[in-house]
Amino acid sequence: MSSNKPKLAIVYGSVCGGCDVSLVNVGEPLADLLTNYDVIYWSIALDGKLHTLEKLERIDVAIYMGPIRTELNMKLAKLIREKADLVVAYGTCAVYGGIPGLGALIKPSTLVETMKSTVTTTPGSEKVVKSMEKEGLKIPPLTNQCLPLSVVVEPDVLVPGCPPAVENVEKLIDILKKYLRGEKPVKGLMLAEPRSLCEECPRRPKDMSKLVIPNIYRLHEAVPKEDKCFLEQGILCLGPITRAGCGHRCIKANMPCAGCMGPVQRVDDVGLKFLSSLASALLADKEKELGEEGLAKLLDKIVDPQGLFYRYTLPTSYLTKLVLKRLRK
Amino acid sequence: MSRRTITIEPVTRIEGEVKVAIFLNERGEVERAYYQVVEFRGYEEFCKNRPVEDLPRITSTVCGVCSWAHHLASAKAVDALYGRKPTETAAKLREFGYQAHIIDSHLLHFVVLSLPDFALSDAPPELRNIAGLLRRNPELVKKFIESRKILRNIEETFGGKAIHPAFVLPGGVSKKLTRDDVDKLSKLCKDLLDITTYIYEYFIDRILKSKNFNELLYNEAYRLRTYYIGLVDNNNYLNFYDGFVRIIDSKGREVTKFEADKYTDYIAEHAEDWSYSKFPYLKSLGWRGFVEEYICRAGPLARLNVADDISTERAREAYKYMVETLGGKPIHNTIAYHWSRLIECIHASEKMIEFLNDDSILREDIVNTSGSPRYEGVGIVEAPRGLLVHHYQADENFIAREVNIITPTAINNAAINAELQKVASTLIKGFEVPEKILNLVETSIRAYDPCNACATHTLSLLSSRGGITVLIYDNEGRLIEKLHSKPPRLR
Ligand code: SF4
Ligand code: SF4
Ligand code: SF4
Repeated sequence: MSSNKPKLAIVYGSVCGGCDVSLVNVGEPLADLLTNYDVIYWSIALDGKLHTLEKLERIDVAIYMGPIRTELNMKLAKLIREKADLVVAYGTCAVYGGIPGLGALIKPSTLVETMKSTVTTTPGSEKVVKSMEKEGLKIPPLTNQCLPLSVVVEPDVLVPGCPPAVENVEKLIDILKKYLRGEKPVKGLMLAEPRSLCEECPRRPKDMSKLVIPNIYRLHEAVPKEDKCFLEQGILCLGPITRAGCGHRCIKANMPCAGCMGPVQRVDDVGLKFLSSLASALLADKEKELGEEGLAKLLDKIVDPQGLFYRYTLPTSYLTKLVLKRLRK
Repeated sequence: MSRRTITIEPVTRIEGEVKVAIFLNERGEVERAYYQVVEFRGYEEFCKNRPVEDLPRITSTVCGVCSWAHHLASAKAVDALYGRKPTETAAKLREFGYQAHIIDSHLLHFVVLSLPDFALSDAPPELRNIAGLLRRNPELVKKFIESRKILRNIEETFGGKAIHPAFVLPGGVSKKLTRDDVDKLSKLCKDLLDITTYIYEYFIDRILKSKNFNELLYNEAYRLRTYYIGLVDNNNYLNFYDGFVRIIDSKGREVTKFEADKYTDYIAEHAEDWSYSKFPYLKSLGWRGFVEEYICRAGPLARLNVADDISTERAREAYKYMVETLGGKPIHNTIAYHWSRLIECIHASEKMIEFLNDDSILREDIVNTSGSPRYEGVGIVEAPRGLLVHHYQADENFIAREVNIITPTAINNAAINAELQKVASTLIKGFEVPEKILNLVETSIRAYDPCNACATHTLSLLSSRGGITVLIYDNEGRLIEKLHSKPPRLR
């Protein structure tokens, strides 16, 4: 389509598709966008092919979804940063790594174990592919790490959420409308609240600092009540260290927050922060009875700290940075 | 002329990253065509060592267009693992919410991904999409947009988030349904049935009768005589949430019918080094390559082939009409997958209204907390795209030790490849291949609504100094293939 409308490309990393659906779900505002922009690439909805994208010299806006897991994902990430004026990291995967980012720190030793186990897979029988065919059959190799877009290039706008909540997608569309009039957002704009989810949670206890946590229960050990703060029930909820802006949707469904909006501002390590506040809430009133040993025992009930604290943010966590630094030495 | 390779990269209007490679010989004839999944995710590995009760929320992100299917298959595996049969109320609430998701996924696929091929077959590629539909058929697109809001609303009522819901607990669900919810849902579900009926009728009046749809529907290249696999309830009726797995052969004879936890007796997986997705096959037949007779298909058409009937009125009528029109079951015409999807949308809408008339959904017993753990569990549901299996093993602390997921898109992987070969060889003659022809090749793939985020959740990763190695093992744990890649330079 030869048009002088600004060009928009929606490009994927290793997506799950949820981000796409969340964009489609906004309805009319999206239809607006489709008429005001010349959407040149969005493979779930349009027929633009890779070579069209590669040929273009300039793209006005590029939206990236999913984490970077293969070299093709990486190539596209760099390509859009090179060509696009405004790059949007859309969804938690693009902003923090997301759930696929849990693969960020898989150790060889763990995998040796895997080797002796798993799946229903049986040996291949069609391995003899002619050499000429091999050439055309290359699949993009995996990258060494599973990375969010935000680590590889610098996005202009970040929209966290797995997938982003409709309110925030509408905000993004507003920004893209303003862009049509020549207004560009401040660099690194994060479409989420700086405060924590607890601050907008209807279950928030009157005084969070006096919170008492009776014990720690897993979800098969306690049936969550529908009107009480999860932490007060002993069910781990990531509200205190998670950014608000999702409309506390999981809380409404009577499930604790898993942290998909990413960490609140100015916290280096969410896990450490959470643990320290948890410890004091657990000790409240009964420091003497429990003692250090008792506390340690209680904290042992956090069976998967990595999956709990960094479920959506592992590749960008302090922990991972440390490990990677050591590996690179 | 020398040989040539044609690549379609990426295949568009499908979910996930896929490439097609077609090899032509010296005479410009198709030698071999490949459908390659080039996306990688790696879920089975990093789901290990997680508390099993967290897996429904983690594995839902295997796929965002069928997140509910993963959420519920996972929930069922977790129920079985803890030995907690969900209460009747909980099972109903899960099934109720899930109907909305089936419609969500099907309508999105039909309107945005597929319809442009049929309603806009004459349009240039840059208009062969939802924006083009909006110009040509604004009424239909308006209905579709309306349906997005309704579906989102229904899904949020149950799962908090419409995509990647937070809804299930071991043995039940997290939230009761209230009278207010039911009042709200009544209106939404009624409107939804109107929309699904409208879109179905649009399909029957405008698409089914169109020349280009008919040409594809009855085209021999777009027809595979395969086995079919799908869930059926106690009466052998269509069911998305629960029941027995039934397999029929290409003549429609029942080959077997089994319960979820027996699946390893019937299904095995084959791996190829040119795709990140595996190829499940029927164990009794063995892996025979991309040969029609030995392939098994899943998904909407497979479900309607394996089921004896549909329980709700309007959908039953629509079903009868399709079967009669196409000359009886099993239906092998791949393009009828689209038709099946719309019939299922009507069934799911009717089913939701049935649930609303059942007061027991308001009961408060939404979780069963008793039962003796088995530390292993299999959960099977019909995802929008077909049979989906989650299988977990846990230690005494309920920490996942083994995770196996078989997705419908993987089940259809062999069929998609076999059909691609057939369609490409029929349509491509010579080295000049117009875009229109390539789109017809893609149309065959789209019929399956493949979801490649799903298909590639698997395989193991080993990061070593030189890069990443993908290891593929056989069922005895023997290493059979090792793919190696060099790492890119990190900033
Ligand atoms: S952020 Fe969530 S919804 Fe978006 S691609 Fe990642 S996993 Fe899917
Ligand atoms: S901890 Fe969770 S339930 Fe409690 S106030 Fe914060 S967000 Fe709400
Ligand atoms: S409550 Fe937590 S997990 Fe749920 S949507 Fe909000 S930030 Fe994400």
